[in-house]
Amino acid sequence: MSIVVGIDLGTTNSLVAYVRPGSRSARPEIIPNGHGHRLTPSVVGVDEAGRVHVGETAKRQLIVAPERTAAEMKRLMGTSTRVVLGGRSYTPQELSAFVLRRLKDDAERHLGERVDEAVVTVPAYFTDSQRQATKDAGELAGFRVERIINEPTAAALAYGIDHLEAEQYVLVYDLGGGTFDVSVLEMFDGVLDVKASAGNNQLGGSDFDRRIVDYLVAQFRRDHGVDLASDVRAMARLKAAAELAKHEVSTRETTTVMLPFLAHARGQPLSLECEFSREQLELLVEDLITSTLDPVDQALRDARLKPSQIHEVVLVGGSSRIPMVQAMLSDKFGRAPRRDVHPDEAIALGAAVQAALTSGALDRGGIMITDVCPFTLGVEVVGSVPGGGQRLPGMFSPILPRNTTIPVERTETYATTVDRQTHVDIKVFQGDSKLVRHNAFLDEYTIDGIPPAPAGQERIAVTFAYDVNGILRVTTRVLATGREASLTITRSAKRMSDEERSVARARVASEWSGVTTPPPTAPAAKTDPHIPIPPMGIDLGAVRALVTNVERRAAGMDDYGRARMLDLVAQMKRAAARDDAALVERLEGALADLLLELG
Amino acid sequence: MERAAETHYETLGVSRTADDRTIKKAYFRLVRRHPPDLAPREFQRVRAAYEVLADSEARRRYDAQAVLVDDELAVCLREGDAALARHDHRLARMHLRRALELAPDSAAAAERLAEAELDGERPREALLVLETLARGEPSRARTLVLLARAHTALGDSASARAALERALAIDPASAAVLAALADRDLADGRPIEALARIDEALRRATGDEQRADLIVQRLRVILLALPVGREHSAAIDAALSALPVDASIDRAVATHLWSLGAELLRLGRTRDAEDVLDAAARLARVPRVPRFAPEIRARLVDLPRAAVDKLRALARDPASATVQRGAWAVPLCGVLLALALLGGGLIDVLDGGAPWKRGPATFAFLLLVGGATLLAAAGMRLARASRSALGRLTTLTARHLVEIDLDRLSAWPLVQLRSVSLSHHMQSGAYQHSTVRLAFARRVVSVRVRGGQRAVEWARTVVEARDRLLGVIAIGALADDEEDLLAGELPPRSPAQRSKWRARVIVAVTAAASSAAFVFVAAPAHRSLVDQGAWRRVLRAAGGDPTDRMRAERRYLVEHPEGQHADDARDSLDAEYGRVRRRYLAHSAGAPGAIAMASIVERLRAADQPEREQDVRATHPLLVSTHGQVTLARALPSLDVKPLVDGERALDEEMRAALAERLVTDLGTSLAPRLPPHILELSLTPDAAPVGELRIEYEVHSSKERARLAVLDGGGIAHGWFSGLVLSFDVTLSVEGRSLHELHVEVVAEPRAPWIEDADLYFGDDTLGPAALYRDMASSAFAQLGELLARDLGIEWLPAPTARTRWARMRGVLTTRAPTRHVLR
Repeated sequence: MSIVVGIDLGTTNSLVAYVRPGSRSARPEIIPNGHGHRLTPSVVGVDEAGRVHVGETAKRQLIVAPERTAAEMKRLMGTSTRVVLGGRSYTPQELSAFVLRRLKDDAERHLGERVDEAVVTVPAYFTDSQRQATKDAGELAGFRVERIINEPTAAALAYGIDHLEAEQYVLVYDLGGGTFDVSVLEMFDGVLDVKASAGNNQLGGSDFDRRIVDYLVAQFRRDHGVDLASDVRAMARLKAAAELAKHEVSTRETTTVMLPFLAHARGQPLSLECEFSREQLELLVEDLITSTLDPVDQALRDARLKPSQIHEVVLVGGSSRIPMVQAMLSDKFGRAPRRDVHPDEAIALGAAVQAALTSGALDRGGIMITDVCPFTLGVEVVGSVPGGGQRLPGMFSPILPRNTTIPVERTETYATTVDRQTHVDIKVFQGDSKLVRHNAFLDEYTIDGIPPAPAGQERIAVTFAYDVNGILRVTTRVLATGREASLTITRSAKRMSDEERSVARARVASEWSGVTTPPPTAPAAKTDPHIPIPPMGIDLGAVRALVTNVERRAAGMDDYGRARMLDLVAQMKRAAARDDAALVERLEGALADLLLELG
Repeated sequence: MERAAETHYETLGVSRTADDRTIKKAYFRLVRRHPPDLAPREFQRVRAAYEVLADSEARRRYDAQAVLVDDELAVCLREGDAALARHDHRLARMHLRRALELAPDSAAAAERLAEAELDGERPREALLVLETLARGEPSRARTLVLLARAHTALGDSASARAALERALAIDPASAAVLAALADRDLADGRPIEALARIDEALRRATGDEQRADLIVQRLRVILLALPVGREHSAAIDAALSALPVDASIDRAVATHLWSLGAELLRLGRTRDAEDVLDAAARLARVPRVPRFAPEIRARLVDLPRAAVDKLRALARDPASATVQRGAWAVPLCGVLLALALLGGGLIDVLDGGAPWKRGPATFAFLLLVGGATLLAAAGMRLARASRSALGRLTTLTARHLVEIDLDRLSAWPLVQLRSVSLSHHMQSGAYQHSTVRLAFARRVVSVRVRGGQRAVEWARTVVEARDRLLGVIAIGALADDEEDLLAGELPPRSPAQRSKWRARVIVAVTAAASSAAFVFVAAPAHRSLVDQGAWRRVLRAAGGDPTDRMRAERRYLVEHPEGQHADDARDSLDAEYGRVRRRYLAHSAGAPGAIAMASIVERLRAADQPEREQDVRATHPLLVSTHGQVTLARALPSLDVKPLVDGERALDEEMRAALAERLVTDLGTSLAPRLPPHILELSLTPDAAPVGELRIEYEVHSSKERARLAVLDGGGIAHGWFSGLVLSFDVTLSVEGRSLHELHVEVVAEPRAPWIEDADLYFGDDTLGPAALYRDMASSAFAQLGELLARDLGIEWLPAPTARTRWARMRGVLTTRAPTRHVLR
């Protein structure tokens, strides 16, 4: 039985987890990456040699060479935006595919066998096209994507696997790097019945970071009269600092943001140094955080529950660590949120549980889950005013109301609007407004061959079938002729054609093979994943790239800087020669910092 | 009985009384068994059931409906069977179509429907039903036999034979299949095979009835297909002696024999026909089968056997004593009624307010003529009755109707029975009782029965009794015909007969003339009496709530715009309007008063009372601006009600109650507004800067109750399913997300069919009734809502019927790509 892994493809970090087949405990485990870390940053970089890096190295490069590095691709998923890295242009799917490929390699190395199937999570509030894009990314990376599941649902699985006996209503609050989701579930006898999901697919920790960066930029302008906004490198450093500051004030009251040599003015290097307090953070992001209550309320309403009926609030996502979030939820629900689920890992663990259920590694008698379609889906119709002949085009007629349990199939019957009408355009929309122009357009097609008849006489049955992966299929049937036509919502403006996909797959594969991944050393099954694994080896390519980069820059440095750098490079070369991976990694960090310092 | 499909309770495997926890447990247990990713179809079914049963409100509705559907299905199938047995294929078709609608998978319903279609000589329709059925369930012998019947009717003997042979392959032991094949063989000119098959079938036949049928069929083959000869009477005797001994079977066989006799008559085989008909008469124990001419006899044999039975029964038992006693009451009542009406008219004459201007002498003459004529008419009826085929009085009045009881249906009232209708009454979805309405010539009697089933049976008994009676009367008519047809054989009419006939003509002419006079005199008097009665209703209402009184007065005005008391009613209403107006003005010089007055103005305008409208406007000059200026989008800036701000104040409780009351009495709506205190605060923004988009959100709920209405009409029996609809609208008006106004409107949409207009309302689900009916109801409901909004809120409303509702069919129509000639926008 081949292993199916669960992947949390996050905005800032991604994780891969699995359930060891045959293990009695059936506990999902995180697979560490080549650096021994459990989180792999969702960053893709192209180095000077044109090779693709993913993870820590890429994240480091993000600061050094932002123009060759991409992050937060998840926010672009499902759009047709293209990202240019080092002169090459990539789709968000391709970039995500690199991340997934990294995880795939890590998993294969760790498990010592091929891993071809995966369950990938997406935010519950991801639209159809975003889901399709995610699925595409998985395929580009060489996975067969067995299931797409919703992140809060996955988190609930991770929570539920430890509380199989519980009988309670649970609210999962998932504030991640770039998306926000909330789900309300009922747990009963090991079955997690999702009652409602809501969220905002463009809100998360990075928005907080941006606020902090803006604040720091303003500080800097006030202190030095220099605007950093146009300085890409400085902004990248600021962003890293902002993220760090945010993390620190989540555990401490204040921290100091210190960025030496951030800019130059009148030949003088300028540094940023300021105090940043928790209060400050809360002032900056309060509105964003309070805005998460709207989806919470909506989900509760849709689930027809009162806050007091919720037994447990489960926090997921890095941003849920912010004390203000916890305080707000304690206030709302009258109880402290649970902290026993690891906010970063829960989703990947849950995905692994689902993966194990899919592959049969986990007995279905244990835990299982139902899910909902979190948004309303319907078609455009022409409304008509009774009595008069006036028509109201552009009305939205919902067929699947939001939070309908999936899979589901619903049919509505419509009529023609003009005499002798032979064609009907079926335009599929997503949203809750009664006017289609406020809703998101998904796809359309035309059915013809309707027998000519007076208006309103010919009827067309429109069936929406929404499957467990959140993929919508629309079928229409002309009642008079029995003629059927159907459409799987795929175009979504952004989904690739088969041809594009195979080209992209080849491209991902070829560019990926340029990266030296450490070869599998020992059979992974023997290692205990709970003990941090030492790095598997040195990424010589990356070291060489870094060293080349440093040496090239050393020419333009002052004596002190050059001396320090050359010293570090020498140490690095020695360490690499000794195969001392830990030291190499530390030195890599130091070198990167130095580069940053020197600008 | 076959079921529509699994019920939600069956899906979840719980009892109908299961509590929430049991249902939840069952759901989660089944989810385990059918995980959504592995068994999506089962999961969806389980989920659908759970969603209904876990929601107490939905479950209550479902229960109410399920009982009805069960009930309805059972009723439909049984009624359909009964109609089939009576060969009333039209009624059977209606019932069975409905049954098939309720239970699309029911093979029994489909087969019976096909049978009804075949009976109704609509083989094409039958073929359609059967082919659909045969696709779903290919191995039902009965379906195939019916299919063969349909093919035969369409003249496609090859397909018919193929179907039957398939049926035989499926069920080689079935006597029914063998019999059908025998028929086929006979039709194909293979009588020997036919006989062999019938003999085979006889060996396999189980019941006596079936045997009897087969014996007759065998006889038929012999008589129709074998050469003419003396052995036929022997064959008939042999067949008769082979029949099982059973009185009820005898009658059935007699019917078959009658048709066989008729068939032989058509073929010109008079001699065989007479033998067969004699045998039939012997079996039916009809005392005498007169030696009719062949044509007459052919008609007789087509009569329902029940009619013959009844005829026999009546001949033996000339009872109906009740009827005879009551007969004398007819003319007596008539005279009394005429006198009363004429008396009423006389009073009007003396009052000087009579609508006709004749001298008292003319009136007295009319009185005399009328009275005499009535007597004459009564006498004539008596005379005619004594001449009727059955020698009984045939006139009845409503007086007897109350004497109907279940065990001893006295027959005669039924002659005048025009229709029987049945209604089930619901309250909040719960069954209350059923009413059987018997509409006789002049009177309607309603009988309330608890238990829907019993009411249905009761109504059916009545209808069946009436059918039989009509059969009897048909025989009576036949007897008359017979007289004419056989005139050649009878002696010429005697002078006494001729004079009697002449006397009859004179009486009839006199009756017609005096009836006309009577109508001329009495009708106005009658109208005046009705007017009095209506006004008394108003006076009765006057004691209580002023709202009731106003309602009564308005109704009076609508019904009797020219009535004697119309002015009184108008004055009283005026006074009340004045009082209301003063009250509003006293309450508020500002907006609420304006709104209320605006509605009054609108009302007055509609009533075409310009003076009063002017009067109101003069008191309240601001009114003009509150109306008709608001359209859906970007409209608020033009709502120029700024001056009202000065007088703006919140609506207090009393004010709101008063306004609500006014909306009911003045607007005649069932509008029950929940007016928030800030009703006008936002819309009266001082400088009328664009406040953004005005949103009107509304939800339309159709009421979930429904009931069936079967109307059995006098002539041919009409029958149908109708339902009414109660639509309620929840409307929220908001500007920039702030709620301005919420109201709840209920609109009752009634079916407009004239012949059920006084029937009770039937609440409909969205699946019932002809679509056009619904569309009309929906349009009128929306139009009504629009009107209300315009009147109450001064908003021109463009309803967009896309509310999320169960009201699926009305939700709107698809956007189109219009063919070139029809440009949509």
